[in-house]
Amino acid sequence: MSARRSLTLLLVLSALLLPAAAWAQSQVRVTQDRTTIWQPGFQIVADVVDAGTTLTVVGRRDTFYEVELPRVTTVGRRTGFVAVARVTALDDRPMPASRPPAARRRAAADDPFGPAPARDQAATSPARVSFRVFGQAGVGRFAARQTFETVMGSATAPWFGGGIQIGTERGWLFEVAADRYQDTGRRVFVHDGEVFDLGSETTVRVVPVTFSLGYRFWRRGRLSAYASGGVGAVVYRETSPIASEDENADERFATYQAVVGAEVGLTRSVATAFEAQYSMTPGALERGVGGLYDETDLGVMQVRVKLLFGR
Amino acid sequence: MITSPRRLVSLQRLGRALCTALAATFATVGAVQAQDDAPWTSPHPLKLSGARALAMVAAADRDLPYVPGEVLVRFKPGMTRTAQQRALRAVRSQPQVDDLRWIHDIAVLRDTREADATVLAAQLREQPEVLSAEPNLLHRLQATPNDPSFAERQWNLTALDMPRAWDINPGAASNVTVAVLDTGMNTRNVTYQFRSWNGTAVGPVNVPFAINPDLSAARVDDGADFVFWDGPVLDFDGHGTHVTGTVGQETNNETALAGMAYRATIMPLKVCIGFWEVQFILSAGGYSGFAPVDAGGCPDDATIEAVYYAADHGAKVLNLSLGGTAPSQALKEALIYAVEKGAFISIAAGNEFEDGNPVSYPAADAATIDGAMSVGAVGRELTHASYSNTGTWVEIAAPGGDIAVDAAEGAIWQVGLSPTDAQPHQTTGPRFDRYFMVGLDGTSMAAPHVAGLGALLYSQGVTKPAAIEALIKKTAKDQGEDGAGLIQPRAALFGLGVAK
Repeated sequence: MSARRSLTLLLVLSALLLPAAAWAQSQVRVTQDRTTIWQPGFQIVADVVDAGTTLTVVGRRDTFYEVELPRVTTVGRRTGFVAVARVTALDDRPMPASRPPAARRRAAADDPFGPAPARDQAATSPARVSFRVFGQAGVGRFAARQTFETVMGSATAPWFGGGIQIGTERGWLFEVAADRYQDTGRRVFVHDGEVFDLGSETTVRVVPVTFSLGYRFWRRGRLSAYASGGVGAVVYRETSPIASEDENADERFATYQAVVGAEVGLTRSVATAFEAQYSMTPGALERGVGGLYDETDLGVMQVRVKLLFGR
Repeated sequence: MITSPRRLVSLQRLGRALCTALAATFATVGAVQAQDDAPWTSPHPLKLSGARALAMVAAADRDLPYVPGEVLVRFKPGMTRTAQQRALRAVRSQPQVDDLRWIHDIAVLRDTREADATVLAAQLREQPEVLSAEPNLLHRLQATPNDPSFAERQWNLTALDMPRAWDINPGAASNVTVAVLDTGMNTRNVTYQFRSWNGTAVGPVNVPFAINPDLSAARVDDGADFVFWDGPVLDFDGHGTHVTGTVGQETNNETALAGMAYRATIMPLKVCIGFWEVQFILSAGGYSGFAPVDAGGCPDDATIEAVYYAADHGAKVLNLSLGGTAPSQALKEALIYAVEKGAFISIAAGNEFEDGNPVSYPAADAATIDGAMSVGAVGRELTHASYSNTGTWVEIAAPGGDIAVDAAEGAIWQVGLSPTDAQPHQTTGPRFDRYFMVGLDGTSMAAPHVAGLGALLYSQGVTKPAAIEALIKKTAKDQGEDGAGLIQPRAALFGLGVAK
């Protein structure tokens, strides 16, 4: 797949996924003084607000809206639940529908103090640790731009990969991922900026296996943003049909990467994320054309779309 | 066969010869008079005059690094004929501008009254019209002949992994021409009658020449002779045939041995003469006696003219297995001209390591020219050959053999002219029509490996001389303290990928 096609795919996916988050921007006004905003679980008060307070709705559970808390609380929580009956919509945007699993959660809309059934308790509490698998596709540009343009024809290429992600309630993320790049170019020699094609094919495969630790530093309902960093190993293989094994390259290099991303929950068990990654793999290209150009870093600047499954 | 001492010619006898009327006829091109009054007419206009043959004998006898009485002169730009003539008045014989022979902007001046070319050059350099003047240097071939026993052991090509290099590029291509500036090679099946000294008298001798059976005539350009005559290129020595064999002897033809660039076109350029050319011309002039066995050499004027010729006639690679200890600016400029015209040049680094390890030219010039390489030699163990000059100016190494260390097994073997057929002290009736496997060693043998590699690389797509040099150096195997890496043809032809 060419880099252009990959980019197109990325844009199409973005166009399809972004409307799913549009409802999250609806706002309501509190209609009664001393209205309670509950923490998840409905055991603890998150805040108490008066009539006229404007709240941003980020979700709905049964007869409650999940809203952003107007004030930062001491526990650091950012959303809570307010009874639908105690607010009125401020605009024409569609309000979130009630989620079926929560239909039997509460008996009285503004009377959450009664004990909830045990199974409901479990259903309404966020999981302490989430475990998800993901696939990803993106477009990357090698730091050794001139080297890859000379040998492979382009420094920008599609990348595909996948991995597993473990998340905690407090926003920590741990991820193991593997990506793959492969393309075929021509062996060359470069002198004084002039490239001489030596007529032999060369196929390059780059597979970084990375371990990342990250943190969700911003969250609004189904939207969140995060950053991560980590280390890993790049499996580099360069082969030619006319080469003997000792002439092929099959090497491992240490790599370091940093990622920023934004995630959108599509359903309770499916989410998508958009990420930008910068990686460094120093000293990997010292002998080939990379050495001639003094471009020894096999690092990549990559943007990608991620599809995550799991809770 | 004769058993007489190698040098029967003394300067006294040369002096007598010069005093005869023959000296005058030597100076003319064409037929010369022999001692027994039987006329000998050269079948082709001669370039090697009798006077020059005598000068070369004198050079051999006195171990001079130049042709006595000859200088290469360059006048400053814009000098008129009148101005040039004024400058020539500085020379005792008062030569005329019309008598000068021109090679591009270089004038070859032969002075009959001052044999010391260093004096001549100094006199001319003092003239305001003269840009440069230097002796017409006489380079020597850089090979040592070996016992001509049969053998078929090209360890050199095996050591260079040539079979696998040929997997990538099988022997270059016919559109890549390699000019070999040497003693020539036989381009005709022909017999010429010369006159020679048989130990007791001067008489006719029929000398047969035959084309190398292991180098297809179809692959050989006519080439040119810049030193002996205007006839076909012929090898009266065997050095050029051997060197040419390493460059491009037929391969995969189930015959004899192999060469590096066995599909390339060969352009034989004769710039060196040996004992027999000198002997024949002396004898044709009536001189009785043998020339010194080391008479001859490679005059700079011939080498310079050949370099320009090769560059102007499409040669993409030049091999010069010759050298000496004196530099020539005119030859260096010719080499630069050839490189600028797109020709890669390989030059032997010289065999005098055990004789003081002097700097050898034009090899040392190559170190300052991107696109020309000075080539040292390694022996069978792929370590520095005992004779090969070293220094920072030696840029690369290739197999040259080392007979002193490994005996015949350490030689570079190619199909060549039988050495016993033309040994000056073994025969008076030489022949150059029989081919055997001949083992030689020297940087003369190393240089054509690099020239052959240059042809392979050109054919593979590296079409700039400087890039060929850089790629050969980049892929060479480090040889340690001697500084010159050993060529790795397979690696060079394989080129570079992203990381390897």
